[in-house]
Amino acid sequence: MADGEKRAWIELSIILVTLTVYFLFIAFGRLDSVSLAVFALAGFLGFRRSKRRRNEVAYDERDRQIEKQALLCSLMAFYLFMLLFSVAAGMTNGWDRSVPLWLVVQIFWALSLVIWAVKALIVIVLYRRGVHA
Amino acid sequence: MLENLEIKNHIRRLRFEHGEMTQDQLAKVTGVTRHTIMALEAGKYLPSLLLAFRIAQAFGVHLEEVFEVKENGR
Repeated sequence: MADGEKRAWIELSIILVTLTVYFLFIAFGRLDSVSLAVFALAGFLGFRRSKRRRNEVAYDERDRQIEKQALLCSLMAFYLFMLLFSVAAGMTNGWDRSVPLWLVVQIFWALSLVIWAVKALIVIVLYRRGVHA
Repeated sequence: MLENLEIKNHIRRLRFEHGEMTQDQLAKVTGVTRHTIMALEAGKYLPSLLLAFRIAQAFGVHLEEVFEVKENGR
Protein backbone atom coordinates (compact mmCIF):
# COMPACT_ATOMS: atom_id res chain seq x y z
CA MET A 1 0.00 0.00 0.00
CA ALA A 2 1.36 3.43 -0.97
CA ASP A 3 2.21 5.90 1.80
CA GLY A 4 -0.47 8.30 0.60
CA GLU A 5 -3.13 5.60 0.81
CA LYS A 6 -2.01 4.56 4.29
CA ARG A 7 -2.13 8.19 5.34
CA ALA A 8 -5.68 8.52 3.93
CA TRP A 9 -6.84 5.45 5.93
CA ILE A 10 -5.35 6.91 9.12
CA GLU A 11 -7.03 10.27 8.47
CA LEU A 12 -10.34 8.58 7.80
CA SER A 13 -10.08 6.59 11.05
CA ILE A 14 -9.27 9.72 13.11
CA ILE A 15 -12.20 11.60 11.54
CA LEU A 16 -14.60 8.70 12.14
CA VAL A 17 -13.54 8.42 15.79
CA THR A 18 -13.88 12.20 16.28
CA LEU A 19 -17.31 12.37 14.66
CA THR A 20 -18.51 9.27 16.53
CA VAL A 21 -17.49 10.78 19.90
CA TYR A 22 -19.08 14.09 18.88
CA PHE A 23 -22.40 12.48 18.02
CA LEU A 24 -22.25 10.42 21.24
CA PHE A 25 -21.95 13.71 23.15
CA ILE A 26 -24.98 15.03 21.28
CA ALA A 27 -26.88 11.78 21.90
CA PHE A 28 -26.26 12.22 25.63
CA GLY A 29 -27.61 15.76 25.52
CA ARG A 30 -24.33 17.68 25.47
CA LEU A 31 -24.82 19.85 22.40
CA ASP A 32 -23.19 22.89 23.98
CA SER A 33 -19.77 24.46 24.37
CA VAL A 34 -18.50 21.23 26.02
CA SER A 35 -18.98 19.12 22.87
CA LEU A 36 -16.71 21.57 21.08
CA ALA A 37 -13.77 20.06 22.98
CA VAL A 38 -14.25 16.79 21.10
CA PHE A 39 -12.75 18.38 18.02
CA ALA A 40 -9.40 18.47 19.79
CA LEU A 41 -9.17 14.81 18.69
CA ALA A 42 -8.85 16.08 15.15
CA GLY A 43 -5.43 17.38 16.18
CA PHE A 44 -4.12 13.84 15.57
CA LEU A 45 -4.54 14.60 11.87
CA GLY A 46 -1.45 16.75 12.17
CA PHE A 47 0.87 13.88 13.13
CA ARG A 48 2.98 12.51 10.33
CA ARG A 49 5.27 9.55 10.61
CA SER A 50 7.45 8.11 7.92
CA LYS A 51 9.57 4.97 8.00
CA ARG A 52 11.37 5.88 4.80
CA ARG A 53 15.08 5.29 4.57
CA ARG A 54 17.50 7.86 3.26
CA ASN A 55 17.62 8.24 -0.55
CA GLU A 56 14.20 6.62 -0.87
CA VAL A 57 11.53 8.59 -2.70
CA ALA A 58 8.49 9.05 -0.46
CA TYR A 59 6.31 11.22 -2.64
CA ASP A 60 6.23 11.52 -6.41
CA GLU A 61 4.19 12.89 -9.32
CA ARG A 62 1.47 10.22 -8.96
CA ASP A 63 0.95 11.09 -5.29
CA ARG A 64 0.84 14.78 -6.19
CA GLN A 65 -1.69 14.10 -8.95
CA ILE A 66 -3.94 12.11 -6.62
CA GLU A 67 -3.64 14.73 -3.89
CA LYS A 68 -4.53 17.49 -6.36
CA GLN A 69 -7.58 15.70 -7.74
CA ALA A 70 -8.83 14.78 -4.27
CA LEU A 71 -8.36 18.36 -3.07
CA LEU A 72 -10.31 19.70 -6.03
CA CYS A 73 -13.17 17.25 -5.45
CA SER A 74 -13.26 18.01 -1.73
CA LEU A 75 -13.37 21.77 -2.42
CA MET A 76 -16.35 21.22 -4.69
CA ALA A 77 -17.97 19.10 -1.98
CA PHE A 78 -17.25 21.87 0.57
CA TYR A 79 -18.92 24.44 -1.67
CA LEU A 80 -21.93 22.19 -2.19
CA PHE A 81 -22.30 21.40 1.54
CA MET A 82 -21.95 25.09 2.48
CA LEU A 83 -24.54 26.09 -0.08
CA LEU A 84 -27.04 23.44 1.01
CA PHE A 85 -26.42 24.10 4.67
CA SER A 86 -26.75 27.90 4.37
CA VAL A 87 -29.98 27.70 2.41
CA ALA A 88 -31.46 24.97 4.64
CA ALA A 89 -30.51 26.78 7.88
CA GLY A 90 -31.88 30.11 6.68
CA MET A 91 -35.07 28.63 5.28
CA THR A 92 -35.93 26.52 8.32
CA ASN A 93 -34.94 28.93 11.13
CA GLY A 94 -35.42 32.31 9.51
CA TRP A 95 -32.62 34.51 8.16
CA ASP A 96 -32.64 36.95 11.12
CA ARG A 97 -32.27 34.39 13.87
CA SER A 98 -29.14 34.51 15.99
CA VAL A 99 -27.32 31.40 17.21
CA PRO A 100 -24.64 30.91 19.88
CA LEU A 101 -21.06 31.22 18.70
CA TRP A 102 -20.16 27.72 19.93
CA LEU A 103 -22.79 26.29 17.60
CA VAL A 104 -21.35 28.12 14.60
CA VAL A 105 -17.84 26.91 15.51
CA GLN A 106 -19.04 23.33 15.97
CA ILE A 107 -20.82 23.34 12.64
CA PHE A 108 -17.66 24.69 11.02
CA TRP A 109 -15.56 21.92 12.62
CA ALA A 110 -18.00 19.14 11.78
CA LEU A 111 -18.25 20.33 8.19
CA SER A 112 -14.47 20.58 7.86
CA LEU A 113 -14.07 17.02 9.09
CA VAL A 114 -16.72 15.73 6.70
CA ILE A 115 -14.92 17.43 3.81
CA TRP A 116 -11.57 16.03 5.02
CA ALA A 117 -13.17 12.57 5.09
CA VAL A 118 -14.42 13.07 1.53
CA LYS A 119 -10.86 13.95 0.49
CA ALA A 120 -9.42 10.87 2.22
CA LEU A 121 -12.03 8.66 0.55
CA ILE A 122 -11.25 10.09 -2.88
CA VAL A 123 -7.51 9.53 -2.29
CA ILE A 124 -8.17 5.87 -1.43
CA VAL A 125 -10.39 5.40 -4.49
CA LEU A 126 -7.82 7.03 -6.81
CA TYR A 127 -4.97 4.89 -5.48
CA ARG A 128 -7.04 1.78 -6.13
CA ARG A 129 -8.76 2.73 -9.37
CA GLY A 130 -5.85 4.59 -10.94
CA VAL A 131 -5.12 8.12 -12.05
CA HIS A 132 -3.59 9.69 -15.13
CA ALA A 133 -1.15 12.60 -15.29
CA MET B 1 -11.44 10.42 -31.26
CA LEU B 2 -8.74 10.65 -28.57
CA GLU B 3 -10.95 8.70 -26.15
CA ASN B 4 -10.48 5.65 -28.35
CA LEU B 5 -6.75 5.70 -27.83
CA GLU B 6 -5.02 3.72 -25.14
CA ILE B 7 -1.40 3.88 -24.05
CA LYS B 8 0.23 0.55 -23.29
CA ASN B 9 3.70 0.10 -21.89
CA HIS B 10 6.32 -2.59 -21.95
CA ILE B 11 8.02 -1.75 -18.68
CA ARG B 12 7.66 -5.22 -17.21
CA ARG B 13 9.20 -6.88 -20.28
CA LEU B 14 11.99 -4.31 -20.46
CA ARG B 15 12.83 -4.82 -16.80
CA PHE B 16 13.33 -8.51 -17.35
CA GLU B 17 15.35 -7.90 -20.48
CA HIS B 18 17.62 -5.63 -18.46
CA GLY B 19 19.00 -8.23 -16.11
CA GLU B 20 15.74 -8.76 -14.24
CA MET B 21 15.81 -5.23 -12.89
CA THR B 22 13.52 -4.95 -9.88
CA GLN B 23 10.71 -2.43 -9.57
CA ASP B 24 12.60 -0.92 -6.69
CA GLN B 25 15.73 -0.40 -8.78
CA LEU B 26 13.75 1.21 -11.61
CA ALA B 27 11.95 3.41 -9.09
CA LYS B 28 15.26 4.63 -7.69
CA VAL B 29 16.73 5.36 -11.12
CA THR B 30 13.65 7.29 -12.26
CA GLY B 31 13.04 9.07 -8.95
CA VAL B 32 9.59 7.74 -8.15
CA THR B 33 8.15 5.30 -5.61
CA ARG B 34 7.91 1.56 -6.23
CA HIS B 35 4.12 1.91 -6.02
CA THR B 36 4.17 4.20 -9.04
CA ILE B 37 6.14 1.62 -11.05
CA MET B 38 3.60 -1.01 -9.95
CA ALA B 39 0.71 1.26 -11.00
CA LEU B 40 2.40 1.91 -14.36
CA GLU B 41 2.85 -1.79 -15.05
CA ALA B 42 -0.76 -2.47 -14.07
CA GLY B 43 -1.93 0.27 -16.45
CA LYS B 44 -3.39 2.26 -13.56
CA TYR B 45 -1.27 5.31 -14.14
CA LEU B 46 -0.20 7.28 -17.18
CA PRO B 47 3.09 9.03 -16.45
CA SER B 48 4.04 12.59 -17.21
CA LEU B 49 6.18 13.14 -20.29
CA LEU B 50 9.21 13.73 -18.08
CA LEU B 51 8.80 10.42 -16.24
CA ALA B 52 8.17 8.62 -19.53
CA PHE B 53 11.49 9.94 -20.87
CA ARG B 54 13.26 9.00 -17.63
CA ILE B 55 11.98 5.44 -17.89
CA ALA B 56 13.09 5.16 -21.51
CA GLN B 57 16.47 6.59 -20.52
CA ALA B 58 16.79 4.06 -17.69
CA PHE B 59 16.43 1.24 -20.22
CA GLY B 60 18.54 3.02 -22.82
CA VAL B 61 15.80 2.82 -25.45
CA HIS B 62 13.56 5.22 -27.38
CA LEU B 63 10.25 6.33 -25.87
CA GLU B 64 8.24 4.40 -28.46
CA GLU B 65 9.88 1.18 -27.37
CA VAL B 66 8.48 1.65 -23.86
CA PHE B 67 5.11 3.19 -24.63
CA GLU B 68 2.79 2.45 -27.50
CA VAL B 69 -0.51 4.00 -28.50
CA LYS B 70 -3.25 1.57 -29.41
CA GLU B 71 -6.79 2.06 -30.54
CA ASN B 72 -9.31 0.67 -28.08
CA GLY B 73 -10.81 -2.66 -29.03
CA ARG B 74 -8.05 -3.53 -31.48
